[in-house]
Amino acid sequence: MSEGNVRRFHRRLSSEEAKFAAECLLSVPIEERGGKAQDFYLDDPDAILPLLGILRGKLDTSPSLVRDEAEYFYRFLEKEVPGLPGELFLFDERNYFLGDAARLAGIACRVLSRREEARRWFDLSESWFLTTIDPAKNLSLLSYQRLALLTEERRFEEVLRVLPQLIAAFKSFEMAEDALKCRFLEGQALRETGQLREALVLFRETCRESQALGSGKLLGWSYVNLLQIHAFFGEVEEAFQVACEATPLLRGLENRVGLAKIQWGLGTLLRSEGKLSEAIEAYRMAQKEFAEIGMSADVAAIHLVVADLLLDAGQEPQARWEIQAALPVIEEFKLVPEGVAALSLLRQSLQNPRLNRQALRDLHGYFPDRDA
Amino acid sequence: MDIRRGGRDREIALVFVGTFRHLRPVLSRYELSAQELREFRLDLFVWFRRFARRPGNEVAPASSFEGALSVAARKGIDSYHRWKEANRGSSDEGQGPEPPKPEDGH
Repeated sequence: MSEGNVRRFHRRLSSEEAKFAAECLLSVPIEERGGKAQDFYLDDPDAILPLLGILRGKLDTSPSLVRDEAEYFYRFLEKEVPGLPGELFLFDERNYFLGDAARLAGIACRVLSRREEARRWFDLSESWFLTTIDPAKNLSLLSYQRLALLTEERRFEEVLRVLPQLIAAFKSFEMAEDALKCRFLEGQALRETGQLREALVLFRETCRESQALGSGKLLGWSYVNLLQIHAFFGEVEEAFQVACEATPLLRGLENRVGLAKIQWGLGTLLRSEGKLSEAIEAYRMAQKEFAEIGMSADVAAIHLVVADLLLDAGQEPQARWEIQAALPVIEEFKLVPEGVAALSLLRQSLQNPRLNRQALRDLHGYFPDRDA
Repeated sequence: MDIRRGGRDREIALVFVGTFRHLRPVLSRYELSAQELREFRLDLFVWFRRFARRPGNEVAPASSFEGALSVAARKGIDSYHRWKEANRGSSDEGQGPEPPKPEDGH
């Protein structure tokens, strides 16, 4: 025990050094790291904590990077044989970090609409957390992610059945921000089931509660949701006001996902005002941002929306092109399992002189907007 | 130095000291030497500080971690004891390997 301890305390990093080591690691591309992970203190819990924290903060900025880095870290740690001389992990730490890395990889996959992959990471994460000390909080955080995944799959009944217990759990753990995040899922369920006014009231509440908690991140997501609903109703003044509040906040947080969704909302607003070319331009900006972040599902969803707009403008050949760009992504990511019929009808209609517009709209209706 | 961080570190240290005092009767059953006990206490303290920084724990009152600390201490000392018993022969020859960490559930 003594020999190990000497090494442990010799290797301990200050919090500034640990953060610096994490930033150094992330500045080196994965393919250039070779077998030098230890040089970045990747085997040192004091360096791993800030590393995972930094990655968590990048989920709304670079989900693809988070997925790759979390997987890299997970694979590294998985190979580390527990109990070797000089090992720096104490008690449950190796298992905890494996659970946290798997959860992060899963969240990033969820944001990127890689749902099956996300589910596999969440299962792995749970298996590690179950063997840690005091796992209740981490398992609750994992439950939230699973409910977010179900929300994206439009399984609202299942989500609403579990949410109250999860909110109660977070409150009992004094995790107020996570309890509030659950309300976003409730709001999305309301919105996607046509209860838009109720959703609007709910997101106004989340705005107030986010401000009370001092959570800029959740305030930003509240604005994104509010804007989308105001835009749907064509409430120009309210939508514009929300956009003005949201944009600098989201920029400050480097929340590129949120900013793209604001653009999307502005596209909807312009469309509701009958400004088709301006709406298409706003949608294109959102689409470009989503493409840069690697959110292919959202890129595909916007192709469908733009196709619908182009049909309004009498530009059917361009609309066909948009649909043809979207369909392979929808099929590859298995994005609309419940919309297979609409997908098939739309595909068939591409062979016909006239596009099946109802199938196009039905298909787009199966795309939920993801938040928080 | 961040004043809030300093306050948090102090809160964690106080909870640790208070909880560890209650754990002494349990730990004494394992007949550790003074040095072993000192080293175990240090390991436990380092773990506890990092535990308090895990997501979900950063803002919770440190007093809410007393139970987790007790569990970690009991599991840790038990695992060390089992390792020591299993390696008694090789330790006598001065070649004792590093003790295994508990919780290697996979």
